[in-house]
Amino acid sequence: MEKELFELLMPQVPVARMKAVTWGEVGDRIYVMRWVMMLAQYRSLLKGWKVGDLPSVVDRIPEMTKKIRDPKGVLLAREQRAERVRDFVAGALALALVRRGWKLHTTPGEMFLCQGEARLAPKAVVDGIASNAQERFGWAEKARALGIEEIPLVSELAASAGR
Amino acid sequence: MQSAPLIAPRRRSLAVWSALALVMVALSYVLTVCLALAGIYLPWVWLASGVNPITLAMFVFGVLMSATMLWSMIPRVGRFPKPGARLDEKRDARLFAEIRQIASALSEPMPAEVYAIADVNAWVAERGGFLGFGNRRVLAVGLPLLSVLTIGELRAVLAHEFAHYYGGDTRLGRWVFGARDAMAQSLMRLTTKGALVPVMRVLARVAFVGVAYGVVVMVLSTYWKLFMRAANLLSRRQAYRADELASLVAGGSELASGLRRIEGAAAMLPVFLQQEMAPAMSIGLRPPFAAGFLQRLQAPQAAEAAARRVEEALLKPTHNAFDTHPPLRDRLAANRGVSRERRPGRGRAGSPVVERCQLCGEGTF
Repeated sequence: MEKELFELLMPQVPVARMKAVTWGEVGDRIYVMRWVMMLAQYRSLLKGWKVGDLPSVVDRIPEMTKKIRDPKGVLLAREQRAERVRDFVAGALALALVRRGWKLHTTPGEMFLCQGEARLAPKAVVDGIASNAQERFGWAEKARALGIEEIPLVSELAASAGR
Repeated sequence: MQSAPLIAPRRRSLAVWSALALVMVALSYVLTVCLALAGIYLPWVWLASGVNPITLAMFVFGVLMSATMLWSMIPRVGRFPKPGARLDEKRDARLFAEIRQIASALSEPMPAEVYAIADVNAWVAERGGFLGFGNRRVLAVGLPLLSVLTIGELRAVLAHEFAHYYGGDTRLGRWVFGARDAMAQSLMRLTTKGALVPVMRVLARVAFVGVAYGVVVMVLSTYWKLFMRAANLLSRRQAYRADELASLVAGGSELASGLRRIEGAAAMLPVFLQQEMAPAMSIGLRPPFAAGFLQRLQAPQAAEAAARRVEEALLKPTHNAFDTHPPLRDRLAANRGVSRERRPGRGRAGSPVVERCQLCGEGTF
């Protein structure tokens, strides 16, 4: 039914050849691929920073917006560029954790990482540090408690992928 | 669900509005024919008084313009592009059972075709045929709509749609849409997409022709705007009436909660399509659409955003004269006046999530 509907709405797209998947599978493929591509492009912006340094990284977001390119054919406003950088930083955090064995959970509209009892939503972490003083000052301690403080935001793997 | 036919109170004001719409339809054809005839006759009289490049250009322009307008007015055999995936009574038995119950409550025949569309919306129409003959009834129901509404809310939405059949809105709509399309075609063929537009633009360099061109386009576009205002005003009146009947058939509270839910969900659909569906499809994956949309709406951030949207619609309704439906706030206010007394067996049939997933056959979700 849905296949038929999309075939009708998008006759130029080969809907019949698309693989029917669950939303869980989509998240793994899309998010991880998007983060890897972003990191490959802008790894220099985060090189040397660790997960525990997130508040300092967030402080540098206004500076980083100048170095992030607009998507093709789009001219982003200042706030949109800042949002793009926050997405980028959250993606780097997520990818760093995924590579350390954290499990990615995605459903439409929601994405978080789990390891044991711990649960972390990377975008909410970055937004929280940017807007909430309590979260900002509590982050280092939280990261230490989770054992992720020393994880580099750009792994060697990601760095080499961009070369 | 009450299956005894509904005896609905009559609304004379709606009959007056419908009559006005028919007058506007007739006027639109009369105006176009008069403009077309004047477009030939006046330049011909001028040409007869003396042939020169200006009168000749005016005459040629008049003929082209008149031919364009008359050609645009000719009613076309109704071609009906499929709006979505056709639903099948065997496969989607539960949905069809609901449709049948609503149809019987309003003593209306079942639609000949039912489609699933990719929208948080439902609509009815009469399509096909020629000049109002050989039409068939069509009902379209959004897959995302099915995924977000409870059974009671869906019944109210279906009852609203069937009330348009009941009130004769779809029959009247054919004439209104026909006139609207004819005028739109005239205007487009005269100004933008017509094959004769380049020739007319060249001729319009002659001052007299340019003025005549401008006057004709201005008259047509002014009437078009007036017509659209009247047609959409009627459409909004019909929507109130359809809400009233839906309240009587399916319950006022179900209709009100359905309308609120649709307002919030409709605002979230483009975001879901852009942020979730499109990226997945761009890498060759096809995740479940309707179920995914429901998940997105249930995510805390999206749920908050949808609730905010409803609140905004209630506090600061945006509305303009070309809207086909009244703002949510006005619809809810009008609905409060209708009896909310529930009829036996019309309550929610059970857990919304379970119910909504059972509405269509396995193939749907």
